[in-house]
Amino acid sequence: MEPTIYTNDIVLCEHVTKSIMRGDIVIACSTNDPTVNVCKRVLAIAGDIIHMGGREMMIPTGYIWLQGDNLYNSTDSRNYGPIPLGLVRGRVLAKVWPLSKFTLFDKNPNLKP
Amino acid sequence: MTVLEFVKAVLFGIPVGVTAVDLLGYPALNPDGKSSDYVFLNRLSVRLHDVSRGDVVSLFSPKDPHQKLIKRVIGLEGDIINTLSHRNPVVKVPKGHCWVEGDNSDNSMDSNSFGPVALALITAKATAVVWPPSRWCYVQSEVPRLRLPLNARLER
Repeated sequence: MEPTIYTNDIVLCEHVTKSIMRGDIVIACSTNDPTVNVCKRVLAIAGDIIHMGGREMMIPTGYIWLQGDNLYNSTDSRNYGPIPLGLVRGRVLAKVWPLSKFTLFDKNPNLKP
Repeated sequence: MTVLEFVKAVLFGIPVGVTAVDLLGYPALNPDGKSSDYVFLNRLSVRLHDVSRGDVVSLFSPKDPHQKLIKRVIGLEGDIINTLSHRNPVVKVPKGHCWVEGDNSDNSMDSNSFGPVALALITAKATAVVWPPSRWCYVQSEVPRLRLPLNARLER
């Protein structure tokens, strides 16, 4: 998720919101390994259309499309496809450590797929 | 003294029970599909990633995160499954996934409709039927012989 969040940064995460929107940063369990968590940005939600390698693909109901901010070095939905919403652990609210880089993630950049 | 020990056991047992055990009906696994049972769900063994072939597990539906399913694990990662009504007749389960099916295969929404599911969607393992009392038993961890993955049949 560089340059938004770097390795070993500490983030504040909430588990209450059930509605995930485009542009939110979420923590989710990895589909390849249940012991690993990933932190990615939600690029598209159910019903959106994604363009992938010249093909169009619709996100099915109950799934979301995750993508890292570091597009050139990120293992995300471009590798493993859309992931089920049930894997989402929580939404990232703010980066709290290092203190000099404190950021709230309340402003939604609302990326268009 | 015995009263004190009893109180101690209750005080210790209640929090353990509340955190590790949950109740849920499961008509999908009843072969006749009429009655519904209540089962003990063991969350601890799933936290420790101890899921094996044949276990009855509860999981979030991949299509709807608010719906919970209770199914039997037929195959783990790397197993080759002979599917029933999936679009591919034979499926290899990818890494970190498993193949789940209901015992009532005619009327069950399972991996045959939504494909392999991620192991992280599994929330708990069913260990025993607790209600009705006439059906008190441990849930047996075994795959029906005809539904064994193809590679497990070769191992036998």
